[in-house]
Amino acid sequence: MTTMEYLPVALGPANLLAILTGVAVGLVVGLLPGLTANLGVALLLPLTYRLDPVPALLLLTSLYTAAIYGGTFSAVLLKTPGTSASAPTAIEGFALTERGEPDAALRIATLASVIGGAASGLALLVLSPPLARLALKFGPAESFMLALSGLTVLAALAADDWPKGLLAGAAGLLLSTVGLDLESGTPRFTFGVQALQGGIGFVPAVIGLFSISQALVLCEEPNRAVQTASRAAGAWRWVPSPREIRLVAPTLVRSSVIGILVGIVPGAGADIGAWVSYNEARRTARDPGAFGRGSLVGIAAAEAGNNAVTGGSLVPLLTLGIPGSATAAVLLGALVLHGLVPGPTLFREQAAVVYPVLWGFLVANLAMGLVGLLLGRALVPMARLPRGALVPVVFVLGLVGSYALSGSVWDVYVMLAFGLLGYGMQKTGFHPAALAVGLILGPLAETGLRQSVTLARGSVLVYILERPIALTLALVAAASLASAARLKRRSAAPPGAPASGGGREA
Amino acid sequence: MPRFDVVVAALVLLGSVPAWVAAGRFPGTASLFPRFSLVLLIGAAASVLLRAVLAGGRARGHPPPAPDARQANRRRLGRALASFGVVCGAVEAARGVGFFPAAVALAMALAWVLRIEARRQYAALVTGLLVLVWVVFVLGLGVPLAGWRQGI
Repeated sequence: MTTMEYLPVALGPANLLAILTGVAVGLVVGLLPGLTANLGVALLLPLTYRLDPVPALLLLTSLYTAAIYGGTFSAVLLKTPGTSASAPTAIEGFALTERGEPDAALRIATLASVIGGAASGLALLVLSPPLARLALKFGPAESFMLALSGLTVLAALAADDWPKGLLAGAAGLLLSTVGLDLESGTPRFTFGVQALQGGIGFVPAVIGLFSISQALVLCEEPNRAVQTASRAAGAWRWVPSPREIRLVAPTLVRSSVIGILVGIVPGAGADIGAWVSYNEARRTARDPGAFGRGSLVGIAAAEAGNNAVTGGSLVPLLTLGIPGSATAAVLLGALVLHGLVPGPTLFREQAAVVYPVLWGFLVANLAMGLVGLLLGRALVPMARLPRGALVPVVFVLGLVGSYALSGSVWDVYVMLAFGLLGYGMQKTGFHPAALAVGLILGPLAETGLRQSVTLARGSVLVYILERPIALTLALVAAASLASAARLKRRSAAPPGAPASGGGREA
Repeated sequence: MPRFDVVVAALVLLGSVPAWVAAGRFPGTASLFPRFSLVLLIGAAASVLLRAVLAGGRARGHPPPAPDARQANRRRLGRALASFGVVCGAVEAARGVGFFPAAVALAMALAWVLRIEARRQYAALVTGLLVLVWVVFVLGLGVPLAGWRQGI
């Protein structure tokens, strides 16, 4: 079958329902300050256990892209970005809201999010297969270097400073070794606890690290009202005028490309995509003075940039098994849960699953705009909920989600332990995403290292580094670190930027 | 927060010693990756420790945070930890009374701990949530939430 022939599969009733559900839930998750895309994906992961792989993955990827877009609503209307990726939108969008033009901000943000997301979906379809062919040349040494470089880059970017990120990532690697060693049958770091012999389940760990820790953050200021009333007034117009489209068109193209490239770099998330695109738009604007006072171009840049990251971050996830963002790390767990092994053979052996998902992702980005237009005004009052009201929602869904996997209360305890750990990490600058990625990439790295040691006749380091792809990966990791540091400096928020209501989309 | 970083890094370094010894007892290549991870962990912890010590030196002489801010921070932390305690209690209670009664008790206890003001909104949201859980997880997906009483 050709790539095109999988499009009708993506448009099947069950898949369309999954897309629309993912989009609707994603919009709510993105809209609510404090709920992030990775939290939403982690919470819905248990719901997909009994679904077929295609609708399951469509549900989660649709949620991912819609959650990034959903942050726009609270950013524009309340100056509280639903996710940190919407922070630049809050600057420009709220200025327009104050001027009584929230509809202008929302319609441009919707257009930009759809264009950016759809462009990244196309990039996924076009760029993923060639990268997958390259991935076929991967052996144990390459797998080991890949896991290590992915971890190093994400660990370095996820935390405020790289030693803390690396420490969290290394702790994740070590935790991934807990349990019965399948090769020798020896229990490792189980301390005689029977339940630990199966290892630490990554689903309860991820729910704990992302969902429960965020619920504890919400508990800190439970009655903090975001705002009491929307400033929207008068008739709302949702479709951009031709003049507005002409104004923002060049920015949409440039920011989509920037977002896709940022997304492909493992570890550079939607917030970096948004800030880099916004700064680039400001740098090249004819009237830079309009920025900060309600610039439609600024909104277009940020929203196209952050949504373009979503598809970009799925490219290394699907082709190499490296999550391009914290949410992609949770999606990696979903792939594994449904028996898909990201990397060399995915596009060949699982084409019937992968291509419908890629087409569906593209459809999801279009559906997101339509659902956003239809539900936007209806969703707006939800952003006025007090944070405390969201706490039992996250706790109960977390408890049920971790229990549902194996019907074991042990997994609930694991989730609670990781929740407390994640909260402590958030409070002290150790980003939980690095720990989660270490936990998820650990088995891949261990298998690669052990097979490399077996294959190497002499020094394992020489064996790994004399292989061109492994050496290239080591160099790419070093270069990524350097460029990521530069990106991070460039993406530094200008003075007066609002604090995100949500967690960072690492 | 250099002081906290020093504590964390020191604890990690101390904990690495018995972990290294334990890993040495794993047969064949089973010890390889745990020890590799430990090398990374020790290196990162040493870097965190060094940076924290240097940052601590630079920060000396800076004014300490205002007592009001410290107290507000403590209150926020206390609320979060109390909520966590309530959730742990609910998990234990669920083993005795079942999931749904424990979830209702959890919501009521959280409303008290968090001093929720919008009680009506809160009650409606919790009711909707529990109905959603019952419909989606119990009826739809057949998750045996009733089996929670049997424990592990």
